[in-house]
Amino acid sequence: MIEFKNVVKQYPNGFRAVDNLNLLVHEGEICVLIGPSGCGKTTSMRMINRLIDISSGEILINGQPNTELPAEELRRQIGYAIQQIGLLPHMTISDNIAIVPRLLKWDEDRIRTRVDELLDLVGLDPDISRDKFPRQLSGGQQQRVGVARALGADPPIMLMDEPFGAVDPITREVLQAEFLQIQERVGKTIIFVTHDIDEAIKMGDRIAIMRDGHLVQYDTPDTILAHPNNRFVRDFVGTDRTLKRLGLIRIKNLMDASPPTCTLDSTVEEAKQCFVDYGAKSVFIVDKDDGTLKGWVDKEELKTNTSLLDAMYEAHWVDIAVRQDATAREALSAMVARGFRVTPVVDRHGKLVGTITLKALQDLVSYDPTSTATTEAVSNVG
Amino acid sequence: MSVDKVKRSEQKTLQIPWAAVVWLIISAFVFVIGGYVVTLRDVERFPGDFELSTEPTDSENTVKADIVAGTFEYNVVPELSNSVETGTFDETTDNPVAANLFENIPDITQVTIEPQTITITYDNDVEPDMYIRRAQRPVINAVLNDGATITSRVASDAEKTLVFMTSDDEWRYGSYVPALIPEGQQEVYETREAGENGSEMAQFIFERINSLQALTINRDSLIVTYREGAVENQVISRLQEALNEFHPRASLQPDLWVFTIAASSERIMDIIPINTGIPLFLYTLVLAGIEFAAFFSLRNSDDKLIRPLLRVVAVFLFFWSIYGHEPLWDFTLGLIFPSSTQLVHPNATVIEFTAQHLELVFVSSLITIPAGLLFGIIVTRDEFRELLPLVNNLVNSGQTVPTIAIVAFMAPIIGFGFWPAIIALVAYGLLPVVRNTIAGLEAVDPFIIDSARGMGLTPSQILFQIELPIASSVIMAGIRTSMIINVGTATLGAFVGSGGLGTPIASGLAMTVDSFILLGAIPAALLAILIDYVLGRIEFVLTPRGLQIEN
Ligand SMILES: Nc1ncnc2c1ncn2[C@@H]1O[C@H](COP(=O)(O)OP(=O)(O)O)[C@@H](O)[C@H]1O
Ligand SMILES: [Mg+2]
Repeated sequence: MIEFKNVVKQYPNGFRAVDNLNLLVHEGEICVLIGPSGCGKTTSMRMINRLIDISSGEILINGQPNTELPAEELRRQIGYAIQQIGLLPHMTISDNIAIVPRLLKWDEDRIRTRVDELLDLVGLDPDISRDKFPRQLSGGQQQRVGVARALGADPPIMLMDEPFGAVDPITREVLQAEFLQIQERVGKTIIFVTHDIDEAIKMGDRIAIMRDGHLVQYDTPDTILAHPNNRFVRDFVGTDRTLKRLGLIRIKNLMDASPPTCTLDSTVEEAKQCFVDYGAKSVFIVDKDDGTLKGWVDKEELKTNTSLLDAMYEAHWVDIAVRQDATAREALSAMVARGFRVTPVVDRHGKLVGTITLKALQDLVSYDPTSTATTEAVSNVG
Repeated sequence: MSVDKVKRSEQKTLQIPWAAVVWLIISAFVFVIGGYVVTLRDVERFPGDFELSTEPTDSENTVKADIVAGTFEYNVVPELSNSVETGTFDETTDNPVAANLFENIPDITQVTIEPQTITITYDNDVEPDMYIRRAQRPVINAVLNDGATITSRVASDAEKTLVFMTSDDEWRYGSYVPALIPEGQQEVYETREAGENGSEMAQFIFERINSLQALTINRDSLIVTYREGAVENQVISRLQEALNEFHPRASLQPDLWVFTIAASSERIMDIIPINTGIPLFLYTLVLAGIEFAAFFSLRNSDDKLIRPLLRVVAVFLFFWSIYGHEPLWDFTLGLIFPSSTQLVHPNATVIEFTAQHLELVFVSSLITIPAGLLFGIIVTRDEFRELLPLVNNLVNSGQTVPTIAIVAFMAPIIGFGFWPAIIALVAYGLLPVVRNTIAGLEAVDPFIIDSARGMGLTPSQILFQIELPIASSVIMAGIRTSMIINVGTATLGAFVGSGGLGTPIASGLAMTVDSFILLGAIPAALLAILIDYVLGRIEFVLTPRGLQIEN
């Protein structure tokens, strides 16, 4: 737990980069600091491990002021990763990762196993990477090493200043996803600085929006998107914040889990009964054995055809369905593209698990997000 | 199976230890050249160095005989102008010529002026030679005629005999003993007449020395008898000139060399010069052996340290043996200046000059490098960073001050010799080291330092584990520049008497002997190349491997 209490940073030239900041970062959460360039994100973050001195106020780490320990000792207990990575070019990858463990005088055997473990964790093959030098790695690989190095001595707290800011968008997405997986395993308390709202929404358990050294809003991503405090936040999150919110929601939390279904060998009569039971305009046809989506049939078609097989639209599930772990935003996109008001939801093997309607999506975003119904439906993408 | 074996052995033989082969070729070359040079040395008309010693044959008539009183006669050609009053004058005279002489020459009692002769009478226990020299300029001034030359003669009663001997030391380059004429022969000329019809050498000598009465030429000595009344020093110097002219390489006038300050010889390092082509040949052979050994024993290991080191030692020894190979210098210079009477410097060998030179360079670098590093490190620390622009300016403008100016400043302040030269070298060599230390440390990516600080490294850990290793190649380049500059600058040290390779250059300039200039300049240039090479290897070893990979 990290607590900022009335923290002020005034630079020697009189400029107040951070002005009376109060912020509570919960144990095991990723707290994203975001705001326009120059708003004091980096300054705030660097005051935690005292790379920058506080002018007034204090920062408590698990209830203790961070000035209690000598600065170097404090920093060895806090992971530190920056956009420029700052790997030491004259040291091998394993030596780079081993820096803090060596400072803490771990024995070499322990360091060696730790380095391999970390390389594995960040998705690098220890046998290949261990003895390479930073310049022999790609930007994305270097950034992975940077993360591994910050995790070196297993610090409970990590400070990350735009760690994925310098890599290309595709690599960035991969690194973000991987990092969230790592975080699921290690559960660190993380201060994550970024200026990219999409990254903030994706990575943050909570987002602190800053402006001119002040905290403007501190909330979960969904609350920030649904209820921007003021014009500044609204502008900052962008005019497509509704879409962004949809991007936070998984289909599986939103779908109707009992779709109107017939199997391929159902009779026309059985299918007609299905329409009656569900009051639906379309019924989905699945394989009798494994429940794979095979197509659908409209009510009108049944009137003219005597066989279900003749009446159905046959299609591969990839072309007509959305996956249950897709976001609502992806579902909306698919529905808009295909002109569906209802779209089937499948698991990753193509088994039909539910349906989702355009109306459900609309209801969601025009809904009061504080009511229990949606809070349950909303969950962080992870 | 057998095919496999053949292939593998083929692959093995394809690898050739090129360095070793090169040394072998060089050693063969040295063997041929060394042999050639030594052979040349044995040519009869090649007398080498002579050491002059005067030995009176008659104990009553020593050369430095006490002359209590005597008279000089100066023959003035052309005649004195008519305006000069003739006659005999004493100290109270108002004759301008006589008065001038009284003023310039101490202790003379009487001056007699005749149209072609000026006679000076003195009564003091002084070598006549001094009087001759002192009189020369006033007389010419008095005559007011640029064409005037003076011959002098000292009145003396006894006939004198001088013996000239060659050095009986082994000839410095080897076991050759210089000879005037072949072994076992002797030429004796009792009269001038006999001499003027004698051997080529005798004719040559008699022609040049009018006062010569008799001459005996032995294999390694000359016995000279000169006419009564002749000036002994003049006979000696004429004879030296004649010998020098007759034997192109003879070096008989060591006293004329300038800038040979005694103190310098005391500092020569204890390095045994390698004298002949044979040791040089053996060295190159050993080096070839070292390279072969290194090739076969280190071929599979990471030889970042051992092989460069071996190579440095090898190259250094090779240079050193070339430096010690006097016949090679003599031979080479002889090719460049075939008509020169003087080739190698009489005071010291190339290796001695080089040893002094290296001492200048190393002692100054021993001060320069730590001081420059320390200074560069201090001004790049946060606490002293305000000084940085000032220091940068100083360092850059300091480079524009000519070295000779520093040397010239030092001389009047701390005098002549080794240390003034060192101070000038340090002042000059400090600049590149400081500049590159600053540049190297400033070039370290600030984010690397930031991330190191963020991980909890202390400032000294950051300096020694991160900044210095990363800056090492830039710093080494500065050290390299500094030492190379010092090799060149140290030659100027000779002007304040520091010794070193500047000595032959300075005396060559003073005496217009071109070969001496090259004798200093060529070794200095080679030395610069050698030091650059050695430091380049050291730089390679010191540069962390991760930094040798280009981005
Ligand atoms: N050493 C300094 N002296 C004066 N002003 C500074 C200094 N460092 C940063 N600032 C200013 O403080 C503000 C906040 O900086 P920073 O925290 O780095 O912003 P960001 O939110 O982009 O990370 C900026 O306006 C910057 O110009
Ligand atoms: Mg920043």
